[in-house]
Amino acid sequence: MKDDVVEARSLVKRFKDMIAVDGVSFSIKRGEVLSIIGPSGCGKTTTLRIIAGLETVDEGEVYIDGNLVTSEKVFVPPEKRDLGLVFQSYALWPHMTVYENVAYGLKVRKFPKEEIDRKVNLILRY
Amino acid sequence: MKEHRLPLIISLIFFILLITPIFYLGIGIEMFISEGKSPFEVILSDRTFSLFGNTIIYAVGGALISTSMAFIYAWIIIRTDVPGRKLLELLPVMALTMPLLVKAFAWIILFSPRRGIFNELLVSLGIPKVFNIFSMEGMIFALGVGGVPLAYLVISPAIKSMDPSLEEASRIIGHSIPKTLFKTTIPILLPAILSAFLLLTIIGLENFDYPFMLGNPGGVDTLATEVYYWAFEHIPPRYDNSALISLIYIVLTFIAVTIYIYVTRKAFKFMVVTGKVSQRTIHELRNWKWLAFGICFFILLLSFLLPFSVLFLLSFTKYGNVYSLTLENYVDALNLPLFWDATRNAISMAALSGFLGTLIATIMAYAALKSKVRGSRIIEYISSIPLAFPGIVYGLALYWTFLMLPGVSDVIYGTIWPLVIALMVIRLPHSFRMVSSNLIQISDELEEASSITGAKLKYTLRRVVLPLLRGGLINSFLYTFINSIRELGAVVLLVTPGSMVLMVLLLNLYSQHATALNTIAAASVIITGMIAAFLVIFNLIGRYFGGSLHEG
Repeated sequence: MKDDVVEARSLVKRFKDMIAVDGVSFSIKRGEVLSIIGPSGCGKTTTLRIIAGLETVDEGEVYIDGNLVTSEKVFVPPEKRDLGLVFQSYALWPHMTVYENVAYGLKVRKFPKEEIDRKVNLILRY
Repeated sequence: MKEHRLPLIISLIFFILLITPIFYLGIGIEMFISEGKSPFEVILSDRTFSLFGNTIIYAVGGALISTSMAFIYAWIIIRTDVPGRKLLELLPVMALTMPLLVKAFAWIILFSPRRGIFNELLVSLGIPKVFNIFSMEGMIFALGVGGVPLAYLVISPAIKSMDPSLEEASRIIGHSIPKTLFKTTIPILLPAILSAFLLLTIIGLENFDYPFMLGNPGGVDTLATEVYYWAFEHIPPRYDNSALISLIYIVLTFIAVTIYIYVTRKAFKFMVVTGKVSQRTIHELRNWKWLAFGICFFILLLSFLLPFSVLFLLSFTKYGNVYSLTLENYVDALNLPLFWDATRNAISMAALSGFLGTLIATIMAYAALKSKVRGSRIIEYISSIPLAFPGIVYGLALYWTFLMLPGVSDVIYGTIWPLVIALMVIRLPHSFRMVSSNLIQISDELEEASSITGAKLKYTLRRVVLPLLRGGLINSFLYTFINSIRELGAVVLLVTPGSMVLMVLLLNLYSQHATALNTIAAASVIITGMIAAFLVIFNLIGRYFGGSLHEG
């Protein structure tokens, strides 16, 4: 559908004999907040990783802004999906300062230096 | 996911570098058979059996001494309040600076049957001479005390990461310190001790320096000296015999390496997950303190202080006149023809093999551990194959390949490149292990987080992976660099007058003028000092970038 920001269609992911994600479907509209809740090992993280492009799927499709980004045949790498993700153990780069950690993504997206400075300081103030 | 081919291509090139020379050894054997001789005549001969026996006895004997000494040393330093711990911890670093060949000179000066200092001391006391370094016992002794630093480096991290409460529980039950040591500590540390023992055994099996310098003159040969003999001492050279012995030799080392990999598989996986540092308590030795210090000092004495001081003192005296000090030997050493060439060659060879080895190891480790390409695990196995190549055998195989491949020899012969390739290949398993043990600690999430922000692989590698990998990279470079300068076996067959390096220069000096021991001593001190200087410099750089020698 047009106003779906993220749509997952019957995702299936297997690790060897184990089925990690078994036919998961949902869609998120602009402005919506969706929580996925469940016991450990039920496939929450794997589903998120599939949407982010860190895992491939065995079946199913993922659409972002209406564009197909993941299916059995299509795969758009994570750096081209324009998403954000907070990792289970935060994934803070230990060799960088707090400032550099926050600024990293902005640098990658080639924001001008002053704007990076302004944005990082704004966020870190609180 | 997009596959990156580079790692596979690099691994393939490396594999070709591994296999091609060994393949040429096969041609040598064909030559042998085409002359109408049966290889089994050689393989099943008494001579081969005794070479086999000597090689194994030498390696196992040396490894037993190294491992037990290193264990005692490490345990005392890490788990007790022995005085002077900080100083004693420097042992592995100090001892690394002395090449085996240089230590062999020192042992000859001290324990040679005719003029050894200790034998003369005995004679002056009215006791007959008993020491003979040119024997199996002498070789085992040299290898045993020479291997202590490496065994220490393998064992000490295990002792450090052991949970001290296990020992404390044993004390509370009512066991004394020695009983705790035998009933609790040693059984817990057995995997680490065993892996040190097996590693040292492999090094002993492949060692050329001591068998050549100490065993061969006393009529005790190993497979390493036999390979050398047929290729370079027998007139005319019998490369076919040499190739045949090499192949038998590789079978032996392959078996040893397979056992090593099999036994350490679990131990290494275990070492990766640990990392929890609990508060370290240590045993109070009270009255036994000085005995413990004495034991440590004795081990330190044998593995470094004694051989170094002997060469140091000898380098300032003239032959037959011990009481007047002189700098003449240093002038002689520095004026040796080729000394500066050999120094320059040794340094550039070591730097190149260290750099290329680390580069290749890094790419292979990344492919093996991080890429999801199928079959990338094989890379890990390929990287450990050279462990089973004795330096002398791989040197011979390369030498021969360069002679046989038309066109290649014109370009490469007489340059340091054959040496660089040999050193890089035989040290790659170590580089791979140093880099990969660092890489495995970098969680995948750190890379994934970078790619989510939109960074391409290249950017992620440059900004996230490489900076976090600095410690491992520096250790790998340093280890290959230092060991390349020290190496004799792998380069002795590949050196030409245009590519003379320090170790071979020393060896030639010794075999041509055995009486020039004072000059040799001076040159040895210079080389040891040079290696020490490099160690200090690199260690400072490493510390600056967050790596340290002790990790390696």
